[in-house]
Amino acid sequence: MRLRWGRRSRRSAAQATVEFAVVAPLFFLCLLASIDAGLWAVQTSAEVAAVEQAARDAASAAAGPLSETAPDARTVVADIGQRLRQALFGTTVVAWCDPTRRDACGFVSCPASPGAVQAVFGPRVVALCVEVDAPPPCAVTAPAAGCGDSPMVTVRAIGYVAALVPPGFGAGTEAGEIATDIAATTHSLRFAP
Amino acid sequence: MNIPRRARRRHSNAQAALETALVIPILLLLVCNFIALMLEISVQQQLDSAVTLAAESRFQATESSFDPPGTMCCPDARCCNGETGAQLQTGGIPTGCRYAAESFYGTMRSFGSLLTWHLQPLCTSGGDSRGAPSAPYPASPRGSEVSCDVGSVAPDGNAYPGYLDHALNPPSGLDVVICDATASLDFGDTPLAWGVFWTPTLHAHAEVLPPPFRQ
Repeated sequence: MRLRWGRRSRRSAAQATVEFAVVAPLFFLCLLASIDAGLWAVQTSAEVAAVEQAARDAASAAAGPLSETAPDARTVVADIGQRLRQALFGTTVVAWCDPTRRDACGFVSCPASPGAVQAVFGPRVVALCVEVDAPPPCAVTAPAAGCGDSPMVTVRAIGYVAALVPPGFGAGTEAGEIATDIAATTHSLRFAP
Repeated sequence: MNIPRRARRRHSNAQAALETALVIPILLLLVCNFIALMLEISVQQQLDSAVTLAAESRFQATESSFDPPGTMCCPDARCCNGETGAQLQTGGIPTGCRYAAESFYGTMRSFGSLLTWHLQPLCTSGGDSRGAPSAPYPASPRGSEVSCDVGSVAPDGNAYPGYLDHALNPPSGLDVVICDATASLDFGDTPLAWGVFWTPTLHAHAEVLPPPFRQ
């Protein structure tokens, strides 16, 4: 049987549509994955540089002759928050402090996981926190191990950064985010009393 | 030759299927390798950061400060690499080396499952920019992910030279601290293994000058 030109053209168009329907989602998935990988690398790079600088600043601030206390998370956010916000598109940068308290930071240790940040501040939030591991005081009779050490300061950027992740594909609990946990640790100088 | 229409249609369908079968794997291969490249860049930057902070931390201990026997690097889980459980015995080596290791392990927490470390002595002395080799301290742990070349003065008065960089302050050179870390990035345990067939070796090197008040 001979097909007419119109029928054949309709069949060809249908075939093209089916091919497009099969290939297009895969193509867009690959495109999104590539863009997202690039974005993620930029964001991670900014986080690494920022927490490294923050750890250095916090260690310096803790090493003053009049102060042995490292700055809290809010001071660190004031220090590096601006440069982080420029790189973390669509992500909120906050200090890891109790949002219900105004006087003090409230949270002493860093969140255990990115999920803990999401539980307090919601999705697509990166929290900056500071931990100071102070050495034990040196007793005269039986000094404890490491009692003369200089304090160790750790700054972490932890949470979920915004990403082009479709629903069901993300490492986060919600679509459009990827978990991040970047740390920088350094020793600070302690002046003799 | 005149091909019948039905055969031509089948031929066209087969050609489309073949094109798709060729293009999709190539597309996926490109995407996998692009993601792997982005991952490599991120890990390299984290490694650079960890090694730099490690080298800087050495100066937070005095030159004559040595760890007493039984001291361990990373007694606190927060400063160790939780995945490898690295615990380094640092008794008898300069305290600055332990500080360097603690800073390194504390910073290099991410991407641990992707990295295979090239282990080396934690603390070495000697060596210069003209190629003279460095030697590990006698008590230095051998299986560390980071290695630092530092100078020190032991409690018995024995002086260990640091790394001499002749490019700085020529021709006599300047005593500096250098730290190195090397690791292979292995994608074998990730979905990227499907299309990534290379295993890059990442290396980070940091050289730090002593602060002015110590020179």
